[in-house]
Amino acid sequence: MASNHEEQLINMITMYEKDLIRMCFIYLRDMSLAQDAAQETFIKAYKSMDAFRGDSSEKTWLMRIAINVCKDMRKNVWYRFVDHRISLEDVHEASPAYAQPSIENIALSTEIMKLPRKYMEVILLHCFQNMKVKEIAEVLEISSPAVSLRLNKARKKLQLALEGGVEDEA
Amino acid sequence: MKHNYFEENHIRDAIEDCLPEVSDMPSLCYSVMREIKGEGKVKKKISLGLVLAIVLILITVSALAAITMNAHYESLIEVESGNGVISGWSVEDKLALIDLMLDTGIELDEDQLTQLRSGALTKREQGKLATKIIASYYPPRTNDFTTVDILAKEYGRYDTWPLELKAWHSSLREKYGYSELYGGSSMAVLPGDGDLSEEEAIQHGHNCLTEIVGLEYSYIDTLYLSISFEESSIDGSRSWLLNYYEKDDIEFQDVIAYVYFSNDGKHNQCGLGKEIGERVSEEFEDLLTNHRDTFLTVEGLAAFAQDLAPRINEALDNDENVKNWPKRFAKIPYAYPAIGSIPQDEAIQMATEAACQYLGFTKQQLLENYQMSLSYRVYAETGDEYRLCFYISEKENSEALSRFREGEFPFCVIIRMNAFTGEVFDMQESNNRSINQLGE
Repeated sequence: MASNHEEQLINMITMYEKDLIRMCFIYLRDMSLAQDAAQETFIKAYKSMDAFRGDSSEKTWLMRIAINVCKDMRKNVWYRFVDHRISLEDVHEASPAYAQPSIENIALSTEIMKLPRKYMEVILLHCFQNMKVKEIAEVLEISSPAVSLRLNKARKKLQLALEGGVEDEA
Repeated sequence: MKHNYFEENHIRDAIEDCLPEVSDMPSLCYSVMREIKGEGKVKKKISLGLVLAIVLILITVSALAAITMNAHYESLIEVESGNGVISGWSVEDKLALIDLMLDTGIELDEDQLTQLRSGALTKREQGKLATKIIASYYPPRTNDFTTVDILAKEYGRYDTWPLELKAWHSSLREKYGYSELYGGSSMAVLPGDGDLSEEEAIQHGHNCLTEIVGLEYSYIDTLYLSISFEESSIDGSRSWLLNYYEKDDIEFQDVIAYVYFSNDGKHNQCGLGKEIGERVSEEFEDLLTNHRDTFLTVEGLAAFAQDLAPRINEALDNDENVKNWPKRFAKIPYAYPAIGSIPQDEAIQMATEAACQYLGFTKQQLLENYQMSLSYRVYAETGDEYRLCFYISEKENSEALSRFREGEFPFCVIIRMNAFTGEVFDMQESNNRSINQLGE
């Protein structure tokens, strides 16, 4: 019979795994790494369930682990050896069974993938994981104003990348 | 019209649309559970208090003062290996670390220490304050505050550590199961009999950079080399990692060039870091975003013209991509006011009078409706000039903006003035809203 922790883990996997894989993919630009990262996240979550004191929500806690796992993976020596400039079109060529996404959606997702890490993190947590600024601050261990600033900057960068034009007026 | 990508679930929908196959992937449940069951007992968390107690006993019994610091660091690495980044440690462990810092003679902010021990803080607040106190002495490089930051106080940044120190730190983390709990697929090691020596690796790196990347030896010699030797915990392969930085890049932020190669010859990669264009564009953006108040002044712009502008122009000469704004700014001959030129406040006063006359405003009306910027330039044809721009700011002058839209006010008035005599030799208005606040 499953222990309480195991039950809790299974619930977490059921609830978050797909979103977690998508988020890790955007972060790592590699589907198999993304799956590994999601798996690693759940394993770490399970191992530290005793330490989880409920100061933050379960989702916040899990996202914090996931972001750290992704960061670790990006720091890995061999991550740097591999060309991670994979495009979303490449992903779809590899899986023709699925309907082609819209050009706009590919462009938007691609530009998110191209964002510097600190901006990509806040966009993913806010706009994809629907987390509030305060929760993101907890995940990234930075202040709420810093999150807001990063979000603002990330939005401008995305808008600029997608619509062209020049930077803000000086 | 600008599209709002941030409304509702636009980004979420876009990512889901782009990755439909994720929905059909088999659940991770099975693989995660198998991993967990296969692993047996989860590593027990270790308390810093307990470890320190053991260390203190060891030190007392053996009386080997020389090992104190190493034992101290080892104890921290042991706790880190069981508990992760320092900001995530329990309050008790953080307090134990602070006590240890005090015991070793480190001076910390008395007020913060009093507040920490006042009993008035919640556990969470206490934890945050403790992290702040620790970080005040051991400044962290990132949010991932680790023992690397603590060791950096004594040994400098990780990038500068010798191979022996990196290997020692890695071996302790390995000993206490850091990678088991927190990932990391490689560890720093020392080269052995079958490996290239450090000197040979450096020579190989230099050869790659000259032969493949095309750098000159004389240029490579001006760079700082950060070298590591790592072993993959996945397949045991061993690799040299050489990163080259500008010597004044004390934060080790921009890799100028890199060479990574494995001993088995399977991997060999070298290249340049970010291009100059990318770096100068980022630097410019930082100036404009984080140092705007000092940057957009006569002195700030003159400093820009001496330091960043030449690098932007160098990138442009190399046909690199540079963003539009830095490109435009770099073309302008900003300079420090020359000896004998009229003072800035005098130039402002004279230009204000000229603008009031031109617009038919009182000084007060002018200041209510327009913002003002000032720069000093030296043109080959016309010599030294002050250039003042009175412009409507969308944020500060909303009423003036409406009147501009109704055609009553110009969007900006640009005044050019001889920097020595104060003679206004050109005054123009512009209704081009894409103009910047310096009137460019």
